[in-house]
Amino acid sequence: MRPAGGPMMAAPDVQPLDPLMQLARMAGPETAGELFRQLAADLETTRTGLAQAAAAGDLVALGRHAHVLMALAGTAGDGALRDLAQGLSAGAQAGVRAAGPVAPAAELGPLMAKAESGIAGLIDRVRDGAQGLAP
Amino acid sequence: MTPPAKGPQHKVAPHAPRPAILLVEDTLSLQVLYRSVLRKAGHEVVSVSTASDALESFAQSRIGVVLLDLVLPDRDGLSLMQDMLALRPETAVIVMTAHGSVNRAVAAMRAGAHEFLVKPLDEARLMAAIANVSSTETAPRVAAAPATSRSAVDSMTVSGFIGSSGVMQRLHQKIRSVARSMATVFIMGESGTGKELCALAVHAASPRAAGPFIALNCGAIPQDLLESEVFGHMKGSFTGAISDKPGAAAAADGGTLFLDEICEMAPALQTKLLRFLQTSTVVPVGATKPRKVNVRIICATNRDPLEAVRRGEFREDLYYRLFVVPLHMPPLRERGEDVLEIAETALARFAREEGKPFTGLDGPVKALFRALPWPGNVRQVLNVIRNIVVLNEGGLVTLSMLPDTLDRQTDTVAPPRAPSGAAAVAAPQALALDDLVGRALAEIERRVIEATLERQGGSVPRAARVLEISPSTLYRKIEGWAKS
Repeated sequence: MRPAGGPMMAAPDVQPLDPLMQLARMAGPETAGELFRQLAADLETTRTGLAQAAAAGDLVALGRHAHVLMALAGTAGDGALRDLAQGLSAGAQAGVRAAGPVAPAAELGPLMAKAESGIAGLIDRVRDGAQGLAP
Repeated sequence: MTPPAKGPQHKVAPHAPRPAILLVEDTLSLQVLYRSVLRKAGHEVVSVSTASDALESFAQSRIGVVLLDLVLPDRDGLSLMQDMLALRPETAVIVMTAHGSVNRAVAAMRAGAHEFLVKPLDEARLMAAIANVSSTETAPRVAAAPATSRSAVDSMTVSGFIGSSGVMQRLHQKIRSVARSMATVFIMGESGTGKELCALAVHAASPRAAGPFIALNCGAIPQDLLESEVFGHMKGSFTGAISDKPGAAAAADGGTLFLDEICEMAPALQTKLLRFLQTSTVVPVGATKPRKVNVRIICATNRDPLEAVRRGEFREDLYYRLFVVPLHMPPLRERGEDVLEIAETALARFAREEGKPFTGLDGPVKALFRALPWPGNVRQVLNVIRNIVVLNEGGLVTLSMLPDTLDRQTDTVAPPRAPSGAAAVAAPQALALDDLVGRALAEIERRVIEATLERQGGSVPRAARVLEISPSTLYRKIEGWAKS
């Protein structure tokens, strides 16, 4: 991973840019490193928050973390993870409407597992990208 | 949830040349990203993570634009926005929301936000939104506010946007409130209710009043020409394009673009309109480079837009982009005495134009006007008054001056007054031919009419329908009997 104009950007106009590369370009070379490190940290925080909310059956908190994940995944260009987050958010809202704010989140289990895996994969990619940006 | 950082993290320079942007975003990576994009573009940015820090920075710094996440850890972003606008109404607020939460963004627009952006933010879209709100924010809106409100009232009066009924007073108030925002206005109402005048009133009361107001009827222009009309074309881009044409969107730069009958727009052009709304750029037919424009959109329809969405005739995403502040123009039949205000104002104006000394409407005409359902709304009243002024010499408008076209509107119209001629005659008995033979034709006519009126419960329109004549003809006859 390189910011715009880096040595690995030999033919940037031939291949479509990797989503994280696009993000680095959007932030600019001076900020891309900080952005990637913070993005990885935010994803970690969200992963922990989702797991804790699911364990406690706290659908309101789960929905809130899913909402953040939607924005993070979308920003990082991970459409599949963003859709999973949207499903979690909608499921949490539906659960709150049906059973109240504290309820078993069993039905969201499969989505949670996929989201967990998706977040882990994205964190790895972001960290790789951050390392690639290091001077 | 990202833990909120403590305190404002980036202060604006004490003597910044232009107001700073207050970025309120609690997810730190997104805050880093948006701040960087804005700074690359030369903006001063104050970034915070909580509502309380946002309010503190807003009070202490020279903030012109607020970029606001609606979901904050310590408070709802919507109520924060309302507090900020209460402190400084001239502030331009752009709200941000995650994909799938557009309804909340629309609610924010209705509460006074200028724009909304859906995350993930596209750089071009973010910069377009900032440019749009900055151009209105730099106008002297505070100083101009009382003047624009006054000019709105004047505009309503001068342009014929008349009516002091409660429903219209509430509409005027809503127009004044929405005018100062950049929010897209969606005007609905039956044909002839004054939707374009309403759009003009919004424009006249807005900070863009000095800019152009460009109206385009999407239903009146052939679909194959509509793209060129809206976005313009380059010379030679198609047969007949003999010169460059800027198009309505470019012509409205700095002002307001009014798209009437928006639901009639073809699907392909809806896509282009959506793109235009998202990027604030136009690409004329045959051009290769987009052109940036700064336009406020007002649109109107006499259809139910949501029904058009359900039927697949109107894009749902475009609907949500446009249907931000809906205004409903009430039909004239629900506006009480407004019909008389409109008729008398139009009479005075048309009489002046035609050089004829009309003095007003007489009692029976007023009663009839109040009772008629006016399916053509204000436009119909204006046509009737124009007809009267053109075909008569002046004086007080009486029933005999009314055009024959004012007929057969509904069965429910009560007679404007008791038919005095009929009252002077004994209630007609069942008519036998033998009773009529030997009488004058005029008297036979009168007896038949009176009997028909009696049978129709005194309803002139119903009686007129039975007799197959116009109600105005019937009114004229009744008035003539009263005089004699």
